[in-house]
Amino acid sequence: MATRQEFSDFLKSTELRAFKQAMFAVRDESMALDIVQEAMMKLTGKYADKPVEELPPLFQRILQNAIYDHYRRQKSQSLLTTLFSAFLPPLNQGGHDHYDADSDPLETMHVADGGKYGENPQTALEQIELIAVIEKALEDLPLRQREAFLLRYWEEMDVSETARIMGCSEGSVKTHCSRAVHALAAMLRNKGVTL
Amino acid sequence: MNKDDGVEKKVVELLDQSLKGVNKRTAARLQYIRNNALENFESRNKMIPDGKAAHTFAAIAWHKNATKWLLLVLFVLLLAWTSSVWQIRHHAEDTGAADANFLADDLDSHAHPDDPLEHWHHPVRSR
Repeated sequence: MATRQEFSDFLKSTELRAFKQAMFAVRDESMALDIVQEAMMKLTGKYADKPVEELPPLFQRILQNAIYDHYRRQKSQSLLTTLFSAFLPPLNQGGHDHYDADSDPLETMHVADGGKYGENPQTALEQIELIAVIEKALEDLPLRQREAFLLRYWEEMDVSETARIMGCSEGSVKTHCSRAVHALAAMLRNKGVTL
Repeated sequence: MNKDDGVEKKVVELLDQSLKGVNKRTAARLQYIRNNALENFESRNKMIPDGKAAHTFAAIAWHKNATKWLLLVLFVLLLAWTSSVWQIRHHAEDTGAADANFLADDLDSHAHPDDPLEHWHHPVRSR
């Protein structure tokens, strides 16, 4: 059984990546935070007696399920919204943009303070732009391909673990990963990014 | 060699770098979420007893389990008893009806309307 410190270390090491994964999936910061919160609460509430080595795949499975739940909720909500859209006010009056793909990267330059992306401002800006392009490319990937890619390469899980988390065969994981890599490479080439 | 080889490594490298770009407000909220999750972990652990209390809890759990199985067995026995009673009653009703029909048929076959004996008067009684 994992101790409090082990749980704390695990959550600390995984929270940012989990947040990013949720962000790629839902494209909304507050919803992504909600998903991470749901996953963490479920992990600590229901699986506190699990050993620490079982936590990463468990947490990933819970996180992916939370993302799927979000999609299901969104689907039913959008159905209701479509049905009652005539009674709702126009979006541009009360709505607000959660994500703006054309936003100026300089607006987020404050996060690079302290030389996080390098000392040279020109390099830092290029790096931020490149990251934005890659994040957009990842967001544009189909859900399963993105899930397979992130679990396999970012979370460094093996094929069988990824297959267990995704609830599919190992062959499907390989296919999703291969397609995701090709799609990412093609998207980045189209945008003039050479890796 | 595939021209897309190495894309995943570069993408992952950039994704790792992008983690540094998460703003302070989000990082603070994530820390708050983590602390809540850890509190949840602690409160759950308080509910898991140890030592003598664990023994008591295990005994209670065993008794609860045993009671559950006992109730299940009793329910099955009750079901079997009800079923047998129902079967006996219906069998009695069915055989009773069959006996009554048989008797009626039997009487009908014996009581012929043109039987001369039916109109015969006993000599002693008629005297």
